Amino acid sequence: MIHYTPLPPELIFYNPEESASSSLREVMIDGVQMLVEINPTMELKIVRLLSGNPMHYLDPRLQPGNILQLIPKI
Amino acid sequence: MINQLQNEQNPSIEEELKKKNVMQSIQQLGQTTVPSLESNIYCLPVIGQIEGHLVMPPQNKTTKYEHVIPQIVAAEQNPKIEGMVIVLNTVGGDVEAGLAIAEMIASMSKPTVSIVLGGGHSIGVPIAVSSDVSFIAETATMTIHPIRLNGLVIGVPQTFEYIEKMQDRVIQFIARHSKVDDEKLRDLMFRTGELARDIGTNVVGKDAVNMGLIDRVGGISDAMIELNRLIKKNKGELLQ
Repeated sequence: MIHYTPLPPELIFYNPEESASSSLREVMIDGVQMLVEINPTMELKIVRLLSGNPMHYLDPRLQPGNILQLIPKI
Repeated sequence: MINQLQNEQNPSIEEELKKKNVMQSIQQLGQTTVPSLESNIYCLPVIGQIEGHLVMPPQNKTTKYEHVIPQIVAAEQNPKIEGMVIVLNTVGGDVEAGLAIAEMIASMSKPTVSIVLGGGHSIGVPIAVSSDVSFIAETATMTIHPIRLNGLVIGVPQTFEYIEKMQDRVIQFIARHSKVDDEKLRDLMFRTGELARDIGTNVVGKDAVNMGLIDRVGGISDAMIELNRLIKKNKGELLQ
């Protein structure tokens, strides 16, 4: 693999904490793909939207930092 | 009763409560339907590192090719999407992933406009030039420098030939999709005394336009005006 970047490789490939990213998950909620952090209480905190629709970024419910609750549907 | 009274005196609190309730019910997403806000433009942000064949450590912000490539396919196929804007603020990354994304954008039938904000370095350059019309913010920069191998490098002459070949892939793509020629690009790439810890050149906003790498200097409104013009032209509404 060729990595083409002005950043030094030791900065990119240095891995501070292997477990740091374990709580980050990619999920699709109502057609919007997003990166969320899962709390121990099973709440989802939005970290980043991965959508290509610019309107999704204006949706107040989908702002980064918002907490979504996982409620099982019966 | 008391509650009602208080609410009458304080309508703002009541409103606040209502809002809270709405928010709570909305937080149970999956049961409510999100009102669809449609846009005829697809926005493709290329941010951080471009991640390809290798998963990057978590401190890197990445744009993953497994996200971007299907997104481009979907944008091309979706009849509601009429154009695509590519917003770049990237430090480069995997050559194969970057070239794959650039080729996908270049081969789209729908109008595409790219805008470089902040930085569009290394493999960000082919992505920036792959669109129909490219823009760069006045303060944005693009680093053009040689590619290099990471990891174990076998010290034989063939390795050099291999790097040369990989380098040609990038150079030829840029030369084909911008007004810079092969020779000029090589000159920029191997120039010394411009970068602090590498050879190559850092081109800022206007310089990128003057050398023909990027089409125009501009911001989001310029990019949107151009994209809308291209969309109209694509639909046959604009006869020139």
